[in-house]
Amino acid sequence: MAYNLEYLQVQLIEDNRNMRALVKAMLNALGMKDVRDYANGKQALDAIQDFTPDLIITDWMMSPVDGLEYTRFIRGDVDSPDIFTPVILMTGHTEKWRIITARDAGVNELLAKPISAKTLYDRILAVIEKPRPFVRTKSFFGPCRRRVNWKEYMGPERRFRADQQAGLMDFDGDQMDDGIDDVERLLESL
Amino acid sequence: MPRSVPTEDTAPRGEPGDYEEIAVPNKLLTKIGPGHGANQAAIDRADQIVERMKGVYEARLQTELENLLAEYEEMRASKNFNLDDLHDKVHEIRGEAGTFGYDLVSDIGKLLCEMLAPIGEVRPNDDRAIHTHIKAMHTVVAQKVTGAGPEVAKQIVRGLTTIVDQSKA
Repeated sequence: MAYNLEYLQVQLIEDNRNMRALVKAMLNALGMKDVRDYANGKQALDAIQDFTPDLIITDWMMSPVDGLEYTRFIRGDVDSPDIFTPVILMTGHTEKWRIITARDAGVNELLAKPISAKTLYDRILAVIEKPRPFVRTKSFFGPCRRRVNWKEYMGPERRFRADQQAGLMDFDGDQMDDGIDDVERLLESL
Repeated sequence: MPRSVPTEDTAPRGEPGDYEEIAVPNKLLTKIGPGHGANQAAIDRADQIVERMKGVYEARLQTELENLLAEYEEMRASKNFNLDDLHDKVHEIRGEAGTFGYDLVSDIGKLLCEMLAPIGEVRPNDDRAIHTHIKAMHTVVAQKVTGAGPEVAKQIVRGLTTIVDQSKA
């Protein structure tokens, strides 16, 4: 039996208007009818006392308040309505240092862009079915950082490198200029 | 958001012995009631929504890439490269493209972002490489190449990967 997500209260925060409309439409289609959307963390902050979310889905790069700053507010501010609220961070940044930064801000799940209906639903399922215990140390409060394979979010970069290591490259020159010439020739035949 | 990698990881770290684990009541599960696993019908519905939005998206993407190409041509002409702005625009484009099946635009955009991240001064080779990346994304969309594309598309991505690696050397 599928979950009934109809009554979940969701805050969706994304500064790209088109992306925000797209994700909201996807969430509605997945069964969530109570999705409030905001263009940045400041707007979400201003609204949170009137709309307590069960789930927060947020982009990272926004101003004046970005997704990580908003997550830190949820996790640690006296005005936070629920410090345990699950936070799913949407990001196109998959470099290791950025993932560690997001993890240490207290996000529950990372959703790598580009997203799909399946990856979006998978992350929502993860916070429903596999919630991690919270951890408090002198310098951290948030979901346990040791129970997720955060490296899985770095897949695409590894794929490019793997292709090269497999000897699939077939270009004439070692010089960057030659490589650019080759790519431009290939573009003409695409 | 900085383009470059910070010199040190300043993320907070817990000290041994100060660790407290808290079991959190699953409020989500309480609210949504019983169930399990993926809801394929809901995922299909969401996929259909994306498909319906695709036509409008394609027209917009084409315009965005034409504008990006024109803006970069202006930067080249004036020798005034605003790489932060360029990086942010490419980042937005690549984040959305794959959702609508333009995987190659996402892959090429990712490579371009990777290349732009550490650049301070744009050298002639960097300039050509940046231009080629933008042109490649534009060509992919103009030719409506979705998914991984034909073999030649894979060769293009491999070639651009090499260029990005060389630019970092």
